[in-house]
Amino acid sequence: MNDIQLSKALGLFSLVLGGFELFKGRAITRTLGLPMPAIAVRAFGAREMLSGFVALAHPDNKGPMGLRTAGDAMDLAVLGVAMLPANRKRHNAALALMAMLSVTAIDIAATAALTRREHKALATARRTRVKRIGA
Amino acid sequence: MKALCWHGKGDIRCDTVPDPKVEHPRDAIIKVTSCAICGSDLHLMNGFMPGMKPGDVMGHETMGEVVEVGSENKALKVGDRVVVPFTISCGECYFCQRQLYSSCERSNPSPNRQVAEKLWGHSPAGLFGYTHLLGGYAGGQAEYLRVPYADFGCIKVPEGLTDDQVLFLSDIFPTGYMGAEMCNIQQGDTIAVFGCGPVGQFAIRSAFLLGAERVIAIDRIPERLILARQAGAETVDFSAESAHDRINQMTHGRGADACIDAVGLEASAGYAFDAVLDRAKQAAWLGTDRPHVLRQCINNTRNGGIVSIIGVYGGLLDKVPMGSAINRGLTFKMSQTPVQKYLQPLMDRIVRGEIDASFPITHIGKLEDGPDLYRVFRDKQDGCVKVVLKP
Repeated sequence: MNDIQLSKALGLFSLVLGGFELFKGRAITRTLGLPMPAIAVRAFGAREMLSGFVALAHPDNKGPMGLRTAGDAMDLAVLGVAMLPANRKRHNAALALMAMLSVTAIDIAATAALTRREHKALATARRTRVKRIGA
Repeated sequence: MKALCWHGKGDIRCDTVPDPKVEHPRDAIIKVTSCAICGSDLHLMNGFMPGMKPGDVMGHETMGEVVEVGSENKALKVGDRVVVPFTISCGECYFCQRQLYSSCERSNPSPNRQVAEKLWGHSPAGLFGYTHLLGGYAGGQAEYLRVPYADFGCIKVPEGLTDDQVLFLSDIFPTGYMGAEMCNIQQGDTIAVFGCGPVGQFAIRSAFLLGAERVIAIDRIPERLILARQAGAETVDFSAESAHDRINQMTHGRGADACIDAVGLEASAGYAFDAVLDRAKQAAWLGTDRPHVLRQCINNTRNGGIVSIIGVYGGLLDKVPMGSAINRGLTFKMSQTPVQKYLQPLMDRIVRGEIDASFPITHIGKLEDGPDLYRVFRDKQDGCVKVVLKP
């Protein structure tokens, strides 16, 4: 699997995860003991789905992957709060946090690979340019 | 051989694929010496044209040297230098006899033909490297190319002309010329060309060749606007001012006599409301094309004028202002270019020195550079206007 295929896979993952958060917000807050109302989880789901659509529309662009990584940071922050001792479901939250850390690592790797691809393309452009209009 | 292959949205790779073989007595095999990346290749790269399969060889702007001919091909011989039209046409069928070569009845055979008929009502001609809806032919961004009906389509290159001078006869020069010709230009006419990419640039120059008094060129990319001004056009940067207001100002409030849409289905129109809506629908799989420029062309053509469409559209278009068109008596003309009709007249213009057709080239690379240069061309980086590859 190359970086573009990985980007598409992550986009599809975003759609599925976002859809789950959007339609099962209450179940998620209950299962993880999240200190937030279900509507907030649904909002996270909408954001996740949006980043999925953008990633699938521009799979070879690092921008959508950056958007996903920023979303990961928000998810990790919420799961971090859910790890506090007061949460009786923190064991569930710990599993979710581990899964989220894995996905974040993949997002960062995909962003780095797409950034390298962009830099390589620009280097090729500079090497093969024969004329600059207006120069 | 090496070839640039499509592997999904945004994913072009330089692969090793089997060499082409003569499959029909009228075929020829050419060793590609130059090929170019076309704006309509970007529609395939970006996944907006249906019917691509992973591994399909890209490219339809190609020229090269004949290395093998079929037994019935008496028009070409090994060693000939030829430009290959992107439309594949038999030269004998009902449509070819009427010079409607891009509607050839034979070059898009079953089963692809039936799929095209389902989608579009009837099937057009097959094209090189342009989806299985249009024949599923391997394209010319490769070391070798099989050319069907090569005894009819190809044009030999006269001595003394370089590849760069004639390569664009394969598509963008005839396409731009046809766009201007469809405007039925009369003395004193003002032609507005939306989109100053390579096809738009040829449309601008062709409009002047055909007698336009003024050409208004609309774009937002500085180097493309500079190229348009070098050709004599007056330019409008739509990111800085309203194209509609400016064109009205320049035409005493009437609009242009004809507007040419040289953009097609992937209009990048900034934050115009309809353009943002088009993008959202396309991203969410609720729409196929982004016809912002077609809407602009309709609204900027004077009453009774002509809308000439040479930008490629693939599917179903939303919110096209047909009310404006019918109430103001506009004429629509459009086509995939019947390139063979234009080859000899335009070759003659090049030979006579009326136009230097190599003017848009900004980048020349090898086939291996193709995936990177596809991206640079799409994103309009590094001042890229036109990419030529030399396998």
